[in-house]
Amino acid sequence: MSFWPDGCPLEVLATDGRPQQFHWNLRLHRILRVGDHWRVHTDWWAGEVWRDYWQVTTHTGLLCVIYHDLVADLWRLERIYG
Amino acid sequence: MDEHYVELHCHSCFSLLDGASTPEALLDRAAELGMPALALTDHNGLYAAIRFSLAARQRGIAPIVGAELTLQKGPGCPEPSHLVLLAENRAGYRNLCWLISRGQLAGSKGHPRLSLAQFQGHTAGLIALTGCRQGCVTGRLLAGEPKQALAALATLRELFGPHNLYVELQQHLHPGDAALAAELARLARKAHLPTIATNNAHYARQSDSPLHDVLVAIRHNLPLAECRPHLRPNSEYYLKPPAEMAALFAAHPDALAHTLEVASRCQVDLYFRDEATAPPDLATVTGDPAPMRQAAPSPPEGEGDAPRPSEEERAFATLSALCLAQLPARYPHDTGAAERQLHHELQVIRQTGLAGYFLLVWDIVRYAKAQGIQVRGRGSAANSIVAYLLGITAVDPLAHNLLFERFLSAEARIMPDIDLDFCSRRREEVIQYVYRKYGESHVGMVCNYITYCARSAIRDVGKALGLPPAVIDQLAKGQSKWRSHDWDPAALGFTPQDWERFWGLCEAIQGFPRHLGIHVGGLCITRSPLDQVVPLERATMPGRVVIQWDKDNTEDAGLIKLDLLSLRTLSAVDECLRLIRETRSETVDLDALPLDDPAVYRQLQQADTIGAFQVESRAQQQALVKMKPRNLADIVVEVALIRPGPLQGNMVHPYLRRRAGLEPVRYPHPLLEPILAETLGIIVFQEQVIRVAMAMGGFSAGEADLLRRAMSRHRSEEEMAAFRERFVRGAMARGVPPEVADDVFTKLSGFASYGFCKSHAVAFAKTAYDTLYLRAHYPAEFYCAILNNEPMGFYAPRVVIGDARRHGVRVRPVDVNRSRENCTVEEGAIRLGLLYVEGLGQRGAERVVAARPAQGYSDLPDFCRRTRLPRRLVENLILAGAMAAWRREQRALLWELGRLHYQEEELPLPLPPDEVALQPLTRAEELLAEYSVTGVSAEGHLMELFRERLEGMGVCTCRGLQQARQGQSARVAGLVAVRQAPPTAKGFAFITLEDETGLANLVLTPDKVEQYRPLLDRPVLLAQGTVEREGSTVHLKASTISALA
Repeated sequence: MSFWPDGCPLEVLATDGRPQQFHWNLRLHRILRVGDHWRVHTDWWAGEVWRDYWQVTTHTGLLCVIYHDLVADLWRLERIYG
Repeated sequence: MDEHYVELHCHSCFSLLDGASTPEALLDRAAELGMPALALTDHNGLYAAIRFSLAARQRGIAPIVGAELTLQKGPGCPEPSHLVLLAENRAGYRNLCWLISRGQLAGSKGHPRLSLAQFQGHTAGLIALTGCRQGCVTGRLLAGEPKQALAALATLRELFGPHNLYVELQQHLHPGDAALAAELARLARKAHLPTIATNNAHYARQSDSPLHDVLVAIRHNLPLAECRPHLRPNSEYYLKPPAEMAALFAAHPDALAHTLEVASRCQVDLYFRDEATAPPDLATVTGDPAPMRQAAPSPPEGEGDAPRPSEEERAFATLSALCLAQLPARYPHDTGAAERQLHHELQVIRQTGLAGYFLLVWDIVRYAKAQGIQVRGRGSAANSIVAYLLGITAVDPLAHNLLFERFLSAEARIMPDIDLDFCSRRREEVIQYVYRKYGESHVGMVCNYITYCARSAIRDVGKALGLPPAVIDQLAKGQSKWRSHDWDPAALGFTPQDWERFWGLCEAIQGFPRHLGIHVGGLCITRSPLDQVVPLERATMPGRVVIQWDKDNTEDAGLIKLDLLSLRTLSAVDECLRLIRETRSETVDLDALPLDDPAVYRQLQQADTIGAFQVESRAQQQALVKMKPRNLADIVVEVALIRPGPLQGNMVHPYLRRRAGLEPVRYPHPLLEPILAETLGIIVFQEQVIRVAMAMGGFSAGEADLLRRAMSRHRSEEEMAAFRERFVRGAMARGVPPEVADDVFTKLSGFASYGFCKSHAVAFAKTAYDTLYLRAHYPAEFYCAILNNEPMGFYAPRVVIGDARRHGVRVRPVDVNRSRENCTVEEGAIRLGLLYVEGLGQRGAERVVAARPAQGYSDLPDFCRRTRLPRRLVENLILAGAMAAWRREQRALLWELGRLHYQEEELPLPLPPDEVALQPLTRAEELLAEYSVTGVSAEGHLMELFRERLEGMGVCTCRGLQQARQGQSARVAGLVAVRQAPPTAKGFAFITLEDETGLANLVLTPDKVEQYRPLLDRPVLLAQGTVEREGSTVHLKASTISALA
């Protein structure tokens, strides 16, 4: 499993906030399935954290968690399983 | 798919320190979202149910009444859990009240105890939703126990039936929420139960979520940074638009549709007038002692009760008979007008079905009088001849031109408002009587929501945000108004953004309830058992139960609310009358006093009013000199007008000028002349607001009262705008130009929030008259009674004593052989009581009295041995001059005390007297000693000590200042009697000094206040300045101040 505590910047194509595919490691990964989706909004009093998390499976066989930083409007990769 | 949705699980700020929006804010948002209905489900309570229902109807939204109950852990549910209940109909509402009450009364404050087993037999008319993650069913699923979840569901189904139970699905975008919802839906299918979608809203908009976090932090008494485990992980708990909910529950369309289904089923009318008029126990009317009242049988389940005509008719017949019987006594001369008014009032009472209410009040007053407890009725009720004939009020409504319609109106929804003032010492007896007579299940105290004000908001929000305590202190203390522009955010450690956010939170939280208190003396009495009308809670006082509604909500619900208030003045009056009986064998009947005693008006015109009710304050005295009241009507205006509101609203000066003939009496429009003539064209009384609304705006009596209530309760701008429009339209129909109408409405609205009800003013004026009468004719007894009921009134005891002496009443110091615990009247003088000696307290004082032999204590050793008081208290008594009976100098007594052995020590060994010649205390030392130990000086005034020196400095006496000329330079000195720096005075301060000759007033301009601020707390001041006279009012505009002590 790989984990990026600060998130690894990601280029994501999303419709209505829902991710469809992303580029990473010089490859295109299409999202086949969304396992779970949750939202975190905390710490507004000290450096706001507001993120949409997606646990997804890609056509390239990745099971990973990516998130959409809603404050900065950036996507990041947080972890890859297995 | 139909995208309509109704939120059925929703919290307001009355889920204390949890919900972050007011009911109105929730409804406004719901209206924006197009929701046809909204439920309010606060924790374990219906605090906001009435307010919510009324506000909902105003916005065209159907209100759904419910609550989220906390259940104890029990079989099948190892954790405490939540359950949401919605009332479908009146029967369901009753059950809801009953259940909430059981839980609240069994638990402790804030921690109800209720178990599912208690629901048996109390679920009819209720719809249950299985709750959030803390609901039992969901909880068991989350714990990985689906079988238990199913069992829990079965239990609920047995209690509520398959048509009144819904499995609640929520989707807050927590990890696993979608899966959980799917599992719950599967469970529901298995149990053949429908699902329902809710969002468990805790605030109206997403942007409110920070406030919600702050409330949680406050609740846990932690800064936010340490509160993470208790905070919700995201901001999804807002009222979501139907479209959003549709997207979230795309997999569960039924769950959404069911919200509309449930909404359409729930219809409860929260108006209890029919149910809540308690008929009195008619046995008491005939004079029999009141038996314990049987609880009324529970009304049959169903919508509302049929009225009980025979009971109401009987009450009415009794009421009429009582009133008619009193007519000749109260109106010995011309009963014609009185009879007509009575007939009219009885008609209205009959139409509104309130005879029982009047009899209830009459009975309480009758009981009080029979027990010799002083009681005065006031409030809009004082407007009625019925109240006057029944002896509830002491004021003749005809003689004082009072308006019955302010009190009651055939237009139903206005409940009468009667306040009863009792002697504070004995009010409790009356409350006990009411509980005994009607039973604890029918009487409850009205609650009071303690809400956030500026200071408490700053403290709690500041703490939650983790601000340094020093900063919080500075912000909290340094303000009289909201945002002082003198603050430098950066200097306090704030970024501009943080600063804005901090104040935004403080403003948002202002007005939110923090906890529940009791409204002192407000009682709610119902015909049905109280816990089926409104939920009950424990009060901190044992045996007392509080209803979850406050004054306003109780009134809006159509319930009977009586205010049984306590007035120290009445205790003082009571005592004064008793002393008069004892010392002079005279009985004064205050009810029969003629209202034109010249001594009373002389005192008023000379502002000689220290100790008198309502008219003794500095502001009052200054106005009195200008107003020079000549009759009771003048006192009425004085009492109504000289209060902060009208003073601020700049109504007082025009009135006083017109009265002095300095300004012509003008009316905004001829229509208003008959109404405002008695107050020289100025709106003074709330009753005038009603009359103006009716005469100019064409309002009916009922509408006018709604306007008055809206004004006095700070209603919304939209509401006021609607009233204004109606008023102007009505006025124009009467030929009034629109600008005039608009201006008059502005006057009305500017006034009504602090205007005084004339009947209150009349009742108070009568009490003021009574106290002035007693003060003039029985001064010793009067001042003695005032001293025995301190703290009360505007002035400290020593000022009262000084005043007594200036009126020729001798005041004798505390004496161990003559004084009792309280002050007494001794040969026409006042003997100070032992309680005035510091540290002695009730026990010590009683001991001195109890141990005193018939011939008195013979000397100090005798005193000490008999009373065994601690040395330090004996010292205080010596210094207070209490042992002057033995004519020993105080120093010698102290010396003797030092050498005396007594109390638990071995045998008292009398030591041979030591022939040390001791200097006697000087007068100064005596006075200072007495003053330091008792806080008063009985026979001398402290300023006497300085008089010689002061005369040498050219300082005049307080009385001397009264003779000074305008513009003259003068110096005056004295003890500080009053210090005032009212927020309305723009930085000015007012100080009253007292010396042995009287009082003098100082005025300090803001710069002087700043300059001499450290000195202003000192007890004795010397001031130099310029004399300013206004008629007979004199004050010294201070230019320099120094402290003499």
